[in-house]
Amino acid sequence: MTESLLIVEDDAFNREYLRILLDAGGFSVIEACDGAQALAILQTTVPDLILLDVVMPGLDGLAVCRAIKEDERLMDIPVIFLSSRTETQDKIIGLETGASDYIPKPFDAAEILARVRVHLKLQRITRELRLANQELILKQQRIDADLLAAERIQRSLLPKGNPAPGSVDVAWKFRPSHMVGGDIFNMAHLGPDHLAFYILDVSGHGVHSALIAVSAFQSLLPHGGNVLMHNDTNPTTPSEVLSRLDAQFPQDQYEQFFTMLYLLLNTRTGEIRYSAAGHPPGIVLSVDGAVSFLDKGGSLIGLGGLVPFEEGSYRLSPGDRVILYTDGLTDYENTAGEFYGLKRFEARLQELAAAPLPELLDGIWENLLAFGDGAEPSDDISLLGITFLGGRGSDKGQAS
Amino acid sequence: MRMELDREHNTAVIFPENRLDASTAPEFKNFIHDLSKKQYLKLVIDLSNVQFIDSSGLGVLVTVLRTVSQQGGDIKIAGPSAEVQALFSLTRLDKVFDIVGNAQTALDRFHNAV
Repeated sequence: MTESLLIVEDDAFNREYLRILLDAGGFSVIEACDGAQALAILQTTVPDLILLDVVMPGLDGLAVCRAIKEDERLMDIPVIFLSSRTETQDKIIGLETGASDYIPKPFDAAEILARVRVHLKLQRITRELRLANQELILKQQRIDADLLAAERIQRSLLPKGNPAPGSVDVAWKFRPSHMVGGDIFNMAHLGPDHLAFYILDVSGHGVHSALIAVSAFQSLLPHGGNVLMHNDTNPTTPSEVLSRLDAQFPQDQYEQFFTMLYLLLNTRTGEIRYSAAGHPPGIVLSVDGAVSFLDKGGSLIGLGGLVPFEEGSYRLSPGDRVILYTDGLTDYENTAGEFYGLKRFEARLQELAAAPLPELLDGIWENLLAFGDGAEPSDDISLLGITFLGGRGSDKGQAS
Repeated sequence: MRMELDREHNTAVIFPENRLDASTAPEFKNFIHDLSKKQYLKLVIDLSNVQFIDSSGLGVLVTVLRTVSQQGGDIKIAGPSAEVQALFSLTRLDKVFDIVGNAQTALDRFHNAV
């Protein structure tokens, strides 16, 4: 495409000289003999570059340049000043008005062509950059919107309430990372005497991980899922649940794996059976502050049965709490580069052991946020607490 | 990433640094894939300068182990810190990877196994 140049020059000889030179250079040339005519032409025409004489009767070059730079339609057009004045002061004033360059008279043909070409090229690159940048911004907005949607869906899958008031109290905290991790946790009634609890954490971040988490959630629905059976008096064992998921979510196909803890509570006896697939151990916290870890299990879900899922059991006493969490909590890094860590977490749990469950989790959460001091978590943080009531009414802590 | 190559034995020792997490895992994966394409199939990953591994980092270790073993190779882990070692235990990946104290021990094991 031929690039068009506007020459603004009151001297007829110079104008003619420039027209011939630039015509020959392959440009399409428009001429104006003074500032007023130039601005009139610019009302209807937007050239690719303007050569502007500084000293002209009437509206001079500096005034024309200011007018151009104040007009949103024209402000990006490179302006090159032409002048016999070569003092530094003039050059500075010229460039401060927004001009791109300055060519001194008398003209040198090769210099004019070279400078015009350089500024046209700069202009093209700037325009391309700006377009590419706009495209990037649009793409980023789309990605952010996708992440937000994934986060909303993830949040919508959080438990809606207590599945068995009277048998257990439950409370939880969840904070997604801005990148959207893949945390999901849930609970379900299985048969008359059992409650299932699980917490899982898909590796990686973003929509990909969130989708796998949602898909695993679906598989684990007691109605319509294909892993748990709703009306079972002998519910699927934890190791069987993990093995089924392990077969359903092969890492080489999904490119991610997940860690998970699955726990089955007999609400009559307080007996729990559980297995952890590469997941941080669940913590049993008794009201007197004693801590035990539910650390039996196997490797990550998705490795194809590389390591079998061992099962553990524990007998809860009324009032005992089971605390499940994802490593986003212990790996939460503050601005000084320190991790929250298991020790801090455990110490805080013990301090708060006598508090009712919701206050216990609030206390942990406040401590965690205070530790983080505003640092953006790089992974989802999930914390789930369960109190086994054993027919004791609700969890009011030690005071009850 | 720093590495030491031994063409004669097709071994390579790789030294990732600081962290193996969501931000560094993709580059690490490509790096190992390149090495395996060049037939370096006995790999030692020296973790002595790695302070932090997250689930993405573990994922990439499992992925590259799979790739390399499909081609008849193996990966050994050398010199993990106590924290990193604890993560391998938690995820039972200590049963999947051969983990040794330092890179030289890992290389000796490669050389002595025929």
